[in-house]
Amino acid sequence: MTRALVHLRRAMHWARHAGPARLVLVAAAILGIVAAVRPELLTSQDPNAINAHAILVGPSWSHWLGTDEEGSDVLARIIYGTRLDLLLAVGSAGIAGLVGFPLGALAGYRGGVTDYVLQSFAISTLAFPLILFAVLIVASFGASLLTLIGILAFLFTAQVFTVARAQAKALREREFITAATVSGIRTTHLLRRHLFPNARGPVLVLLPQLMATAIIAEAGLSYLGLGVQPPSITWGTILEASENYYQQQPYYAVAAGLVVTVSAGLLMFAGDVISESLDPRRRRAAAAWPPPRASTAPSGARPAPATKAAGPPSPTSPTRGAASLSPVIAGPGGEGGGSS
Amino acid sequence: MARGLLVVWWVSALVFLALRLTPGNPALLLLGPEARRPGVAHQLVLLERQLGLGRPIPVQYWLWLKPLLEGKFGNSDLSGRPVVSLIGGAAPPTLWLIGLSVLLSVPIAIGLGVVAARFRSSVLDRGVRFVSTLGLAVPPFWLGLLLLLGLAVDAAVLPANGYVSPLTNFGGFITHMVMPVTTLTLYLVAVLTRFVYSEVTESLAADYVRTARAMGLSEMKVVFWNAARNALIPMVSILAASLGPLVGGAVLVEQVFGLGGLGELLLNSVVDRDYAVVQGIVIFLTIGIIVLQGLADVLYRRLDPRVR
Amino acid sequence: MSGTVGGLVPSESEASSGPLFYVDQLSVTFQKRGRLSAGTGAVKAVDGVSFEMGVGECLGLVGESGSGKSSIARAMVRVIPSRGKFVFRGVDFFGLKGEALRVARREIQMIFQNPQGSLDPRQTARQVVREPLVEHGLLAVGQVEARVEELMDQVGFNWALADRYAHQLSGGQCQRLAIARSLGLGAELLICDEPTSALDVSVQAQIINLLKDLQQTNRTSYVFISHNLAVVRQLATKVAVMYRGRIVESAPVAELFGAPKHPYTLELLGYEALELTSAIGPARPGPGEDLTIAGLSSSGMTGCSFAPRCPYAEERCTREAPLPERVTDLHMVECHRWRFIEGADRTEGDDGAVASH
Repeated sequence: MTRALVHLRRAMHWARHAGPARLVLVAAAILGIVAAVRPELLTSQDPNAINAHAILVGPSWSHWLGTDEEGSDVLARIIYGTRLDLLLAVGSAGIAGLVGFPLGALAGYRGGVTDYVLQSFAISTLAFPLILFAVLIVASFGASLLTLIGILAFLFTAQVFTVARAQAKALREREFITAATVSGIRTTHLLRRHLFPNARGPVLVLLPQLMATAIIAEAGLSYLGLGVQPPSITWGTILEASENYYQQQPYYAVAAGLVVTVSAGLLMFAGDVISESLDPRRRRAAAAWPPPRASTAPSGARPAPATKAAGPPSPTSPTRGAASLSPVIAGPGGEGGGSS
Repeated sequence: MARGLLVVWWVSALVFLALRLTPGNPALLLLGPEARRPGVAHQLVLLERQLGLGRPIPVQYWLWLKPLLEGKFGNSDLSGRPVVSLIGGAAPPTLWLIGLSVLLSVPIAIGLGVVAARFRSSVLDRGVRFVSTLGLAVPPFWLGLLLLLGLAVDAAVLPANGYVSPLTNFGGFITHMVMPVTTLTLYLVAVLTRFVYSEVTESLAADYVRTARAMGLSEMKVVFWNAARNALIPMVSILAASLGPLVGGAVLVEQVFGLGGLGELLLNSVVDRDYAVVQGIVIFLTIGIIVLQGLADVLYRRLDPRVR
Repeated sequence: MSGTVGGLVPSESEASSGPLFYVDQLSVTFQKRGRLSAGTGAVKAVDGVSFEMGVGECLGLVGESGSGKSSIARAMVRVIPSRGKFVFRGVDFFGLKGEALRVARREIQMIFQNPQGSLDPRQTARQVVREPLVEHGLLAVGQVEARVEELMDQVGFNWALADRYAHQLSGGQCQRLAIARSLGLGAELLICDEPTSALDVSVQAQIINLLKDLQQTNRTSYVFISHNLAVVRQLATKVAVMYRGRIVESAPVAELFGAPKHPYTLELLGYEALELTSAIGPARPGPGEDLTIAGLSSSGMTGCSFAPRCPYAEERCTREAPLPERVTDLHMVECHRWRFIEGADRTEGDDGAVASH
């Protein structure tokens, strides 16, 4: 319970601490989630309403983004379309992360034949252009959301695998991993506590980018007719329909493409932000949590241990014959200050 | 080398699996709409035996693979023409599109990236990153649409549609290619510039550049020479990695501008269930990409002084 | 070039305490994977090395980079594959597997050269020390925290910093943590791979003192690897000098520094050589230079591996690899010419405290 609180406080500190950029991201995320889960909260219009009198109308007070070829409100369609897009993005990236990360990290850490084979698969999968792969699968299995998720999840897993593997390989050489091995802890423990947490970083940066790719890919595939079928609404299907009428009603196409661009852009930006905050140079500031009151007083935030240090030595510790030990204990400023 | 072969094998296996895992009768699929006609039943049976349906999977795989290895891609069911000639006919616009885009985007990206790195500032930093992210986030075909809206519709300067072979009418070729190539180039430039920028920035910080500066060479020279040269080398592998998305983008852009290349052939074949053609195009493009990536790998090793 | 049982030969005076461990014919071979570069084939980093140690002793392992000292360390803790034997308290350490290996590892720990590097960047100091205690189930849950503080106390680590991360601590503090971690495991042998090379001189002294204290109080034994002779001199009870994968001289510390016999040792200690009697010629590579470039690969060579660099080398030295010879009971050297060197007049360079690089 306390752990969750710590995480929450950390997150709030992060959000507050940051510039306007992060707030925008958080706001957009909330908006997106609401649109996906409870679209009716954001618009009163029915996205499927057919209105023969108001076809391809431009933006107006009743239809902020205009109407489509059936008279339905474009904005409403976009909002309702969020659900499937988000489902696609989160689903495919999520599967890729859950499957690809452990596989990749293990392959990188273990090495050997298994690693070689798995990596070859990953490379080949990566060589396969998304469009072609999608075309193939859709031609065989038909177009549906599930097919799309499957296609994307498959390709994304290969990417996550590759990144996780590279990280694990690099980590394997680090001394603290060697030290962990030498200390005789169980391999599962080593993986769980040392390897995986340290390998996560780049994968966490990758995932939002994969989600962005998912959204763009969906748009592209729907445009080609390989995406979900009506009456399901996704941004891609909206965009696809709008393309036919772009001369009559440019706002229609512009709006459709804009939402794809903005969402994908925000997700990629989120990836950048995560990448920055994981930068080891930033870690110095972030990891000192709670933040020390004064920058040069290391013991300022923790008064309790300071009194301990001044107390009598515990009876079981060896006699401190060497005078060199005492100055270290007594003066926090001696070796403190911390930065190397 | 061995890995290259493994990759090719895996790709072929993927294509094969996609076909076999289809619910329904693969022979029916391959024969396409023709199969539903009465009197074609014996052809169906023949094909089924050819495909080895009902026999173990590895056998089926081999039966499928063998003719391909011999270069026999079969015939389109719709037109009856050999798949290979269909592909050959449809390839030029696609290849021109991709080729020209790459040719244009590489120097532009290097130039932009190096210049941006030269005048490095936090504003520029963010700006470059923002623009390149934008470039990546924009669906290429939507961008094409925007271009159409902006330039073609009103101005009627550049045709919105169609493709003309450079051999028949060079001027027409150019005007028809301008917008599609621009669209794809913008996308590529976005991808590459970001990379060049970060590479150059890194190498500018490297020691040997400092040494060169200390030796008194004029700054511009130092920056451009060393940085550009260093950015070029990994560019090869970045390009290789972007081949996949590039092909995908090309297919989409083709559609928007009605260039009628491989993309259109592919999509029509999917709709028509002309499976032999679909298979042929997919294999052709994928193998092409893998081969190019292999070449890029070799080139990269040759160029990189560290690996030598 | 090898094949004899070389290294330190245990003598009667050590038999009373009995060896804590011995290493017999340890060899480490790396495969060179040169695709484009010339020269594939194996590089013998460690070539049939043997030594032993008693409880509470400290073996100083010195040599330049490339001499194989780090490889010995890594081989002993089984981080890299090797051939040979390593028998610790009568148990064949190299033969252990699974759970038995895990448990046995506790006794042999390693201190690394990069202080921050040996700590997980995501762990606080407290967690670093706590982890082995918890993972090996050494203590009841309630007792762990107290023991952690006790250990920190023992190594002189400031409690106030217990919640800091590795990158927020100085090198000295990180090494203290590493030592505390090892003590928590109950390590009897600490293999220290250049633990002070990355530290300031003043901090070096502190760590050395700490190690000395632990040696006295806990009877911890060390294999102390360093290229810095001055540091080794403070801590070691005996010293072994390594060159290109072999121990070329070993002796109790006083005797090695007082009466060195091997030309390489002399070079390390800063003695200037009179009488350049080298029969090989003027092309003598310096320390660390790759002999393969000079056309003198030590792996293909017969004869003494130091001969190309040796001011006293004669024709025999290029033909015949020297066997270990006893100078005194505890003093061993691998050189054909040591008696000559012993007799010849020499000029002493700076006394002792020369760090070769």
